[in-house]
Parts: sequence; structure tokens; C-alpha cells
Amino acid sequence: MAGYQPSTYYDSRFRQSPALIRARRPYLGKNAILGLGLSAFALGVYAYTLRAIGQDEFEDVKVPDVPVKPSSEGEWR
Amino acid sequence: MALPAELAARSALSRVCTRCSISLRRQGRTPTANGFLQAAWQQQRPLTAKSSQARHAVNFSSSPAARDVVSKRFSSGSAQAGLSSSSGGSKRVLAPDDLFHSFTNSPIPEIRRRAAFIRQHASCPHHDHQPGGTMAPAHVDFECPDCGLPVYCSKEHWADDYEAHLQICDTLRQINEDDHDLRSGRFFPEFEYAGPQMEEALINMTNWDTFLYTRNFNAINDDRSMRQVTRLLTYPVTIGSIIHELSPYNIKAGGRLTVEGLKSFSALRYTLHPPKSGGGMDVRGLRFEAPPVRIFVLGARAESSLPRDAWVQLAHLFPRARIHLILIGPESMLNRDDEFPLPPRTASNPFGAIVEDRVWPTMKISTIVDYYHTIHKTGYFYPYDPYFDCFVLFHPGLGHPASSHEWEETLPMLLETKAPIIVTGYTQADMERDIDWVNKTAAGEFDVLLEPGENRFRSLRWDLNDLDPQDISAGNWGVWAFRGKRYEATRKSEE
Repeated sequence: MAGYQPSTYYDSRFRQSPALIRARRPYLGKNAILGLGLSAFALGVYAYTLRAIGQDEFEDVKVPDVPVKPSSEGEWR
Repeated sequence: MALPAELAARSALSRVCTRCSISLRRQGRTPTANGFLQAAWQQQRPLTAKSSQARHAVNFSSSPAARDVVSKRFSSGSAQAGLSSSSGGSKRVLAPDDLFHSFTNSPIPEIRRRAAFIRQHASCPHHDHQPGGTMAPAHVDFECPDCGLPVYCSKEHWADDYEAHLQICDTLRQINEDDHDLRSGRFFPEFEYAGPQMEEALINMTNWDTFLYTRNFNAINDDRSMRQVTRLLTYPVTIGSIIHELSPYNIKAGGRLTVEGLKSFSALRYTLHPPKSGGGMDVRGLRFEAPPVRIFVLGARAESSLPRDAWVQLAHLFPRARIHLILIGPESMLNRDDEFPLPPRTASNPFGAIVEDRVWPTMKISTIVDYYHTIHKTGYFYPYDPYFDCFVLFHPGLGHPASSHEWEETLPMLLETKAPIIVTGYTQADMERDIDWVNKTAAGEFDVLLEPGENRFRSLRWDLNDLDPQDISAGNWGVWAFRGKRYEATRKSEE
């Protein structure tokens, strides 16, 4: 049969066959550690960013106690 | 085509270890039970030196399985034809869940004949029959109900020695089922091998599974199918895994390769993995090409009848190199006179080599039915070059008492060539016996290239020795490599 032939390493529902699982077994641990490391790094960057932004100080911004009353009403008309 | 009965006798005999059959003959217990055996001895090929000693009757132990498949597939010409003849021609005899049968009452006549052979030749391993025991040696007669093989002379001895038998019983049962599976008449999809390798895809030689996956074989999910296919592929892949540049053996601690080994195999890899030459089909694309790498398989037995598409797997590992596989041994092509009558020895073909050119565009296979040392002495293959030559000895039995004398003359010649020598063994004991023998015979004259140890690409299938059912082995179980010591020129220190 010419053309595309589906890989025999996946079944019709795209689940791994035992042969593929066996072939991947030597790398299972290392791949899991790498995956965990990558996701930890990404999450770390995200968390750090949030923390850095969340700690912004707005103490130096002067906020008047009483809302400033509009000086004249006609200005906006 | 031979008669069915003769074929069956052939394959029954093909299971007997050669070395054991020699020792049998030495003891005068010639196994005359089988007419074929004698016929094989009488049918001596004219020019084999020492033929009287060399006519090992039997093409030995390589798995029955392998042999059968081999002959079936080979005689029908191509893989496809072989497969269709085995699947379509013969109908299915055994169901996949019905593979365990007692050997004596097997539905397959061939296996029944084999059981009879075991009963006639194997002796009971119980300690009463050992020297110093109380009873005379006896042949096996009692068949263990769990593994279906005749292993002891009586039920009492079996029960008495049950602890010892229990250690191998599971493996024997597996052998039993695998043998029935091979004759079950099923379709064998695992014997359709992968084609050429994609240039961009690297091969991972960590183990069988990663190898088959990265070589783009069809998925082999079943353990039994894995055992059947690795029994054949172990021969080419064992060689490839050692000399390939992506070899799993390296000089890191525990990587088993020694510094000398790296030197030797780097030389070979230089030839096996040349850079792209930019050559093409037209005149402007003409380039110089390196001569083929010669892989000498000495003492070739079953591997000389291996299906050629299994050997072509070796060419697929080295797509840019040309390979000349030379199978040499008095037992090569044994029992295959119908298919491959030996060509006459002429001036242009002085050793009557069977040449199969272009089994693949980059691969040529020659088979010579003779001892290697007779050819070596004539200088036929001279000169030897570590960049182009490599010797492989598949379970040679260097240290086996029945065969070591045949290697005594060959070993110094092999060491003299300075080319790497790859040796495999059936079991750890077999391999260590070989190493001891080499240590004793050529002490100080050789360098170890690959530390002895289990072969990553050993046959996963276990094989039975019909002369001794206790003796189970796996094809190419262990592997190691050595070569003759090189004495480099050194400067005398100035004083």
C-alpha cells in the first residue's frame, strides 16, 4: 500500500503499544526529572513575577484625604 | 526438495551441540540411531583438511527454531515468499493458548521424534548416577509434568532432585512453548524486517527495544515474538553494536570498552562511517570509494544459513560503507548441498567459495567451506588491515575440550593479523572457559578490547541441548573482544 501508513507502535485509539512502552522505559526516569525541572522553572518564573509585582510600594503616592471637589462645573460643559 | 521425514531428522539433529557430538564419538558411543547422522559423516567434502575430525555431523545447536525458519525462508527465495509459504501453505496446527504439550505426546511429529532422541542420548543428572554414586548411568525417561521434557530417569529421582530441577523448570517450559509456537503454523509478522535507515534518524543501541524502535521495525508486542526474532537478529546486530559509532559500549567506567579497544574500533569506524563524498550517478559524480570492510566469521555454523535479509540488517546499520561478509568454517553450509552445491575449486576461486554478490547494493557474502588456517597460510586474504578487517567468532568453543585443539593453530594467526577479534559465548561458563583458554594459550600476546560480559543483543530465546536437557543456553549470551598485542616503536630515554 502506497502512501501514509500509521505507525504500528500506536493502536487505533493512539494509545502506546507495549513495544513502545518498553522502548521508552530506559528514559522514563530521566524524562520525568527533566519534565519536572522544566515545569518547576516555568512556575518559578511565574511565581517570582507575581511576587515582584505584588510587592510594589505605593506609599509614596500622595492620596488626599478628601476627594478633590471639582473647581467649576462649567469647565466640562 | 527433501522428503519430510528427512527434513525432520535434519532439524532434530540440528539441535545437538557440535562439541557434544564430537565427545560422543570420542567415547565410542556413536549416535547411530539416526541414519542421517552417518550419512552426513560419509558425505565428506573433498578438500577439507582434517576432514576425519572435522566432519561434525551436526549443524549444531543453533536454535531449531532458527534453523527451521532459516531453511523454510531461505529455500523459498525471499522473505515474502517464505512467509506466505509458511502461513498460507500450511494451515494452523496449534492455537496461541495451546502451545504447551508434552514433548513425547506432542501433536507435532517432529517434536515427538526429538523427544525420542533425547530419551536415547541424554542421561539422568541425579547424583546417584554420578561417579561415586550407587547406580550405573541411565538415560532419561521420566517427563516432568510442568515443563514437558524428559529430564530424569524415574519419577523418584525427579522428586528427589526437585529443588535443582525447579531452577530451570520455568525456562524449559518456555523452550517447550517456543518450539511449539514455531511449528504452530501461525503467521510470523515479526520476521518482516525493517528497510534502509533514514539518514536523519540515529539508531539507539541501548537494548533490543530501543534498537527495533529506532530502526523502524514493526512493533513486536509479544514476548514470544521478541524471542523468536532476536534469535535470528542477534548475529548481525551483535557485530553491529560493537563496531558501530553509536555503540553502547564506551570507555567510561562500566562501559566495558578498553583504551586499546577504542583504538581498534575507531580505526574500523573510520572506514564504516565515511563523510559524504558528494558523488553521484553521472560521470562528474565519480569518486574514489574505500574498499569494502571485510568481516570474517570463523567457524561459521548456523549463521552461514541465516536468512540473507537478516544479514542485510548489518548493511542497513552502515549505509555508506561497503561490507564483505566472509563466512569460513568446515561446518558452514552444512546439509545445504541441494540448494548450494559447492562450486568446483578453480584457479580463480581456489577455495570453492560460494559468492552471493549484491545481497544488498553495499553487501556481499562469501562462504568458504574450509578451515580458516589453511586459507590463512596461503595468504589468500593477505594483507590484513585494522582499518578494514574484523574477525567474529560466534560461540567458537575455544576452551571446550572437544574443539579447542582445532583453534590451537588458528589463534596465533589471528593474533598476528592485529585485527579485532569479537568472540561470543552461549553462557557465562562457556565464555569464561574460552577466556581462560586464550589466557593460557596466548598469555601476554593479546590485548582485551571489550571486557567480557553479557551481550546487550543476546538472543532472548533459550535453547535446549538435546544431548543434555539440563544444559540451556542463549545464542550470543556473552561477548568480549581481543586482538594481538601491538608493539609500538618507542624512543630510548636519553641519559
